[in-house]
Amino acid sequence: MSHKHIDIDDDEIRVISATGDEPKKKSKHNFFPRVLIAALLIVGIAAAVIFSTKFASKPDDSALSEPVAPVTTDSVVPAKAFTTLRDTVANGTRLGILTPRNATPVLSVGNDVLNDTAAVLAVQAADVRGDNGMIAGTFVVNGNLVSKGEAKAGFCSIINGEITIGVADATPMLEQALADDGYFFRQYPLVVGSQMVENKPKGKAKRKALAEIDGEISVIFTHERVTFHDFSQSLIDAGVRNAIYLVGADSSGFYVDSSGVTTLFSPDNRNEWENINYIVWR
Amino acid sequence: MKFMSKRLVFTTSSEIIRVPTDAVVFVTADGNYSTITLADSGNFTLTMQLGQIERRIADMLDEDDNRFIRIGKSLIVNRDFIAFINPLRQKMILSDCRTFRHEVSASKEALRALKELMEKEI
Repeated sequence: MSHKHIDIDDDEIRVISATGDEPKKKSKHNFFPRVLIAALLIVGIAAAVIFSTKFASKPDDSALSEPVAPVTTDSVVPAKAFTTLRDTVANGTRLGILTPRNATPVLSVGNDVLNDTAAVLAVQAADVRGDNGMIAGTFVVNGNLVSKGEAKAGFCSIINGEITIGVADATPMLEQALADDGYFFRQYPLVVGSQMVENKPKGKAKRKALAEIDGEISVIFTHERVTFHDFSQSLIDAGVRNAIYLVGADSSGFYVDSSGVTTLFSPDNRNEWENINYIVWR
Repeated sequence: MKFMSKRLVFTTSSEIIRVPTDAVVFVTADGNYSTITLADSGNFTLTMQLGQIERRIADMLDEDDNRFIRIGKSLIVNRDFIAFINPLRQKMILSDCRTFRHEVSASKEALRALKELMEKEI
């Protein structure tokens, strides 16, 4: 195989074949005709602008509008689910903000979700206890009570696909999740009503949070190891109104962007803890 | 004789990936990694550069098979799934028009050349 396949510029295309075609590149011979066409276009546009300014009674909308895309398959194919990633810096902390689109959240126990091709965002949700391998705090999946406990005051309920984040030792959202085949888990509260909630753990780690920001629910993660305090402050500075913690450090999970490319949160991406659990959008 | 589902095979020191040629929608590059996106919307990430992927594809294709097109430094697409190209918006949609739809981007010049290529084949 010839090494001529290696080189290609961003403005070139090449049909891949066993015979190894050369790139289809812009010809230098086209330079002068292009310049001439461009000059004629500029003159034409200028004339059109002068004419429309002086004589036209109303503007020509067609000259201003974007060309209409000829493909409208949205009515046939359901809106594609994907996750957007936005980077920001707040309180000196680099944050990644993942927001799922056209997707519905649920909770799931076990690592099967890591092979779920319909999922566009999956992050570990509740902690798993080191002593007995049980899920820490109350955990409800599809209306079924999987675990009981109120070790952490923060909660997330998912009822009819709608996420509610809050802080309460007892909340009617739990009863509603049980009654309406919903989902519920508990975690450390980080931000309530744009106010910081202090937490006992003082160490540094890469952090993740489930957060309400700009009226949307997003997963926010840090690129560096930070304390709970600094993480909460950076969330507030970024504009988060409510947030609870998600499993941080090298927790498993992934997101799928609009191009369908999957990005893993950790290199091996498969923590084998018993009762490992995820909040997943699909 | 041609087999209906000829497979492209990629091997690294730790993995082997075998995918039907007609199920590969596009391949994107991210540094030393490449991600193959399939028609079931699943994907595989390989520790291979896109140039290596291109050479492997060229080696494995039949002589008359020219369905894959390298577009710039970061993209290989299967022309059978090209549904929409707009060079001005730097936008291309790869879809079977039934079950999946992926939007990808490339340079205006490359998409203009691709559009011309597709027009010649009408």
